[in-house]
Amino acid sequence: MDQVRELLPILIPLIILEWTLAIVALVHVIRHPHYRFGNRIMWILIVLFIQIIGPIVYFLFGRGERDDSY
Amino acid sequence: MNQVSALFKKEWIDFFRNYRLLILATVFFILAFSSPLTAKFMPEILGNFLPKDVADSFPTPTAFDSWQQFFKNFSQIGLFVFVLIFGASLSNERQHGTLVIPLTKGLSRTSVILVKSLFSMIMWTVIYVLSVLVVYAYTIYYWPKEDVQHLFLSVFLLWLFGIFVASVLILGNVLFRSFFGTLLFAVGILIVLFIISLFEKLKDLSFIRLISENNLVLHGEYVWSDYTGVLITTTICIIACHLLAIVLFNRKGI
Repeated sequence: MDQVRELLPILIPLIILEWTLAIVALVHVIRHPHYRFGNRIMWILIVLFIQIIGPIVYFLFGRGERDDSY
Repeated sequence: MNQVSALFKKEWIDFFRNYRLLILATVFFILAFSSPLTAKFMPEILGNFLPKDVADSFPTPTAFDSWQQFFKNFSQIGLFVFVLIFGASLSNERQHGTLVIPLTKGLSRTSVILVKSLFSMIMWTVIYVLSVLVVYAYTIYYWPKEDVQHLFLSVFLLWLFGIFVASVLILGNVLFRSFFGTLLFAVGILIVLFIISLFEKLKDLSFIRLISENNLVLHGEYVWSDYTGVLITTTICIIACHLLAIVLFNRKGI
């Protein structure tokens, strides 16, 4: 327990960063129905359960080309 | 001047709205935060898998381990993400034809190249410096008594390598129309650099030294004067990449 407390100042920002990425990606998946491949449920699962890499893959490769509403 | 500031503004909007800033910043900060964390935690994790007497033989983590993790993370994953983000900055626009109208209306091609490359360098610099500050703060916090040597030189070398990668990327963007062409070009350059570093005579001038010797610098084995040759060749290569990119882009069809 002591060790966890010792590491808290570094764990908290790390968790916040990971979840910011996941939630921004999740909102984008839900609001934009077009993807380069795959469907909505697949992307929601990827974004939520593969930490860090999931959202990055979505934004770089999975996001639809035609993105009119920002 | 007007052209340049408009181009910078456009790059920034593109960078922000396509979530590139979000990805680059979060990945770099996650890498930065996890460097001291893995350094601190590694003996514990290994201790769970290995027999007790082996685990006890590991030395206790030090500030050097924290920086070692940082250099390992940033020279591999960090630079890879940087290449992913900026690998298509120009070739993407050429594919979609979004530069055709501004260029025919009199936008100078030289400023397009310079602004794009300068923008990627500024982003690399800002986020890299912030990440270094994060690692620095946590290393001081967890290992207050230990002092690493030549920290600035060590951090500077990796930064310079990032600038070199940015200029290779802009040249790759001019040479190839697709993202994968640029990616292969960058990987090819890296392989050539590795081969150069195998030769004994050229070893001192190889850029790979910029990302492979950071830990030795921290231990005080190298000083600024050991790097004069590398710094000069790197600067020449960075300038050469830009000149070549400008000349080629001025001749190319859009």
